[in-house]
Amino acid sequence: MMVIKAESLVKIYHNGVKALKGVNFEVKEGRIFAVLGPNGAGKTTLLKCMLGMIKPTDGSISVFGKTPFPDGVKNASFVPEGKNLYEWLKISKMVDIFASFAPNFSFSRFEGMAKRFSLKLDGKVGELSQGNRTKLYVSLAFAQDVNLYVLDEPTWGLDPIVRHEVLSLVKESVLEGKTVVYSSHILSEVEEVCDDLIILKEGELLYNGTLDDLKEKKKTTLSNAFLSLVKGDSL
Amino acid sequence: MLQIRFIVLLVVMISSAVVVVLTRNFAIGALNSPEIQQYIKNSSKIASIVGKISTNFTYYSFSQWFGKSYIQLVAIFAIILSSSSFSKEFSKKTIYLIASRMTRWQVYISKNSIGWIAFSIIVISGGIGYLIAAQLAGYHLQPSQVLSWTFTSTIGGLLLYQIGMYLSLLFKDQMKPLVVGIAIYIGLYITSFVREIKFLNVFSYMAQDEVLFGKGVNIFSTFVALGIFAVIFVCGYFQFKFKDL
Repeated sequence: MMVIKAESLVKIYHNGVKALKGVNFEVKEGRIFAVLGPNGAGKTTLLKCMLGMIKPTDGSISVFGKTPFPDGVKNASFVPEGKNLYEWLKISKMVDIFASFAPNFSFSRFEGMAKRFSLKLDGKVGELSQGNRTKLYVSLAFAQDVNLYVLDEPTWGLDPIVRHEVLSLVKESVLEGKTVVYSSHILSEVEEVCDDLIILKEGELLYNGTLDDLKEKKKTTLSNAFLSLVKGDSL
Repeated sequence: MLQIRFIVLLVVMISSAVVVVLTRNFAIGALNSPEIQQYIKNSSKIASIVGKISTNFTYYSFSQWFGKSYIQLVAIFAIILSSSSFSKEFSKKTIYLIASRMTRWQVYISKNSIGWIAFSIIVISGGIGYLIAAQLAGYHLQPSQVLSWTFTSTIGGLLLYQIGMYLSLLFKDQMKPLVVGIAIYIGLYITSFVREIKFLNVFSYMAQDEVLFGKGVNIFSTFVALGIFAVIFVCGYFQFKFKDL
């Protein structure tokens, strides 16, 4: 079953920047789908289109068969690039507030995540280090029992042990039948988890297919294949 | 954050009301001082106003609280509470936390309704607090007049609040809605000096002198204020609904 379908997706911002230039792709259920590209490629814009945060200028995108803009996707949980929470709140209060509006939130799932990531729930959100802030955000997002997780740099600032735990969590989610859209600059971890991927550059699609196909065609690692495509080499 | 702001503004509002009641004798003493009397003796109009302030507690309440400090505080608190409501979520990028999990309508109505309730409690506390303080200090004041001014100040204040909410949707930083809001409030106040656009002065509606003369609240003006409030609310929703976050 198809979870996300984008057809000729175009996004031009008010300042004239063309962030997406006719992108086509599909995300299948139960897969880990990576969105890769150098800075300014349009990755975050694409994730925002998926979640109904911004309106496409042209083309279409559907998630679970519905257009996500403007009301979003109830059956999805999002970890944005900036892990911004309410700084002035105590962490426990932040969790309570999040639980009050996040669909399908489970406190027991959250406690399980927090324990797994060794996240302490004392003090205020504003006192957390970058790594702990990421841990908290990822714990909150995965405490939602939804069918789609959209993760933008979900391991930002994490030590190797917790990073490994997050990647394991992503893989386990897929085993439970969930779908994950994953964007990261750390290609080694993308290579570890993803099934399918797209590579964007300046809003244009350079690659759309499986990880195995890409590695097979380029006869190399994901990192080398990525660098080769971004530099302009053909497949 | 809203909780702290709410408590601080509530305390400021109630204590200001109490201070105006408690300083009445001091104010009258100052108005009746030889220096002031000497200054106003050539103006019968000013002398008459000073005389009414000194002898009529209702007039004192209107001139010093309900027609002056109260509506000024209501306007200031409206912009303080509303101007950062959405703009702070945009500038701190916490909007992604809520907007990816709630519909735009849910976000919009929850932010508005919490603000309306908090703001209304503060405004009403200023009116009721003044009445209670006056009763405790032994002054006679018609509760119906106090309730009328409190009602019109709440309606007018909600209109000012909604203007601030709309402005907070337009900007992604917190200072611009505050500055533009203050400019609009000043503009609305200035309209009272120009006869042709005097009807735009929401402050005249909030501090109705008809109530002072024993007439009731101006119903037509109330519906006009509520109508404008509703239009701004609906426009704000569509502004938010179709906004790129």
